[in-house]
Amino acid sequence: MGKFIKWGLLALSLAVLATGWWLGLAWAPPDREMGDVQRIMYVHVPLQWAALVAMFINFVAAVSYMFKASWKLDATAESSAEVGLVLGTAGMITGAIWGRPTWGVYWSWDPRLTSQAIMLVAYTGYLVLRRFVEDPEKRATWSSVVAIIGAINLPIVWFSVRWWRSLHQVQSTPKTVDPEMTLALRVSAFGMLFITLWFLVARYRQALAERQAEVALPDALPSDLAAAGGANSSRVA
Amino acid sequence: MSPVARNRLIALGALLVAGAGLGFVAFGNIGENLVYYWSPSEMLGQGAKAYSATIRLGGVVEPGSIQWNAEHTTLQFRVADDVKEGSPSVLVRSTETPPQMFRDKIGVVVEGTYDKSGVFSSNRLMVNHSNEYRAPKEGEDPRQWQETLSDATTAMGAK
Amino acid sequence: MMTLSTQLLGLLAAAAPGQVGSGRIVGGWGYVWACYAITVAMLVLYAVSLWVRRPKAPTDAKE
Repeated sequence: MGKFIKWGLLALSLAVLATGWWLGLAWAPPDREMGDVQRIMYVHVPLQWAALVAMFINFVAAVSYMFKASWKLDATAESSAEVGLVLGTAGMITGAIWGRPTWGVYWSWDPRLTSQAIMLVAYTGYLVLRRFVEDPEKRATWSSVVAIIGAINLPIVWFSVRWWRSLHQVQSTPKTVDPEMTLALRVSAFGMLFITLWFLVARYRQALAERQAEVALPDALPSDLAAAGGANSSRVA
Repeated sequence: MSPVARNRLIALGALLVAGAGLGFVAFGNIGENLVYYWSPSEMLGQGAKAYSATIRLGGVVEPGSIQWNAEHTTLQFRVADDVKEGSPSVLVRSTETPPQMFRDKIGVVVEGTYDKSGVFSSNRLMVNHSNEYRAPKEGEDPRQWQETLSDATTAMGAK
Repeated sequence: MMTLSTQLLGLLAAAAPGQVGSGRIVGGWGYVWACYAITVAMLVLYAVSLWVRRPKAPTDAKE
């Protein structure tokens, strides 16, 4: 199982992403107006989607941790925030580069770009907070609260282009994108999603190992004992 | 209170705060206070208040209004509320080369100042793209245009 | 050739591609490669950072 995830998933994601990018860069037609510059879509959009998925996992893990504490959930929250931040930063950089030839500027403080910047700062803050709290349990609880409140950035980023006037266009749908482009985008997006999953698994293992080193008995999380009366301690970690 | 109950209560509190915050952002009128750009009719409706402050004006390029002087890199066009004829519009002057996407009827956002003479002096011209991505039509391949570039330019010059 | 040019001009309404007012981006592959290169570089660097931080004792056994 471990070996399969380690190398099988990596090989699968690289193959899918390579296929998607090949479709996007060589097979799909250029855009009528943007020409070949439109091909940035197949890297920018999958990055942003994958970042939002990772950050949403962070939110779910944080809420779950508060309702049923476990180091696995804490490790999930930590890994998804970090992976989401990496992907979101790459998404923002590619978006800025795409903006230069199309909009004429790398950056403008429009609602979408501003909210995305705030979101990245929020998740940076989340990770910094985790670094600064030494006690694993306090760290898990406090960072969960930050994660839950910080998660409002996700719908704000997503809907910013609909709620307010922006330079960034609203979401495309298969109706507004030609089928070849849609296919290339979908394949690329799945490839990016698999890579994200692989990153999450690798980072999760590392975070979990770190937690286990921090607390001698991972099963003996006080809240777990209180919840189960200490009867069923084998279920955690 | 047990730590579990405490954590759950904190979680509910945090969710409530997040929900309230989101509701405020979504349904409050933040949008009206923090407008990224004004439409021409809104800007004209501001009267003297719109003068001399740096503002953003957004709309579409009025068809046929583009006047470009490549020698002096001066650009002049009208930004209108929409492409319908007779919709309110503002004259914009710029001294920068516009992005290649710039054309008649495309959405633009210009940053600059509006003055009493009714001219908007832009120092930043941005083009916004729609959410449509289409392959070129038959005989419209961008790379072919590139090849026929000199041809088309000559034809233009001869006109 | 003449008709082709005229057709193109008709399609482009006012300006030739690459000219102001054409509404079409010509070229720009540099931006495309930059985006893909930066993304690949960031993903590879992150993968390396994961490898550097890999847990010393594998946790597989416990799962």
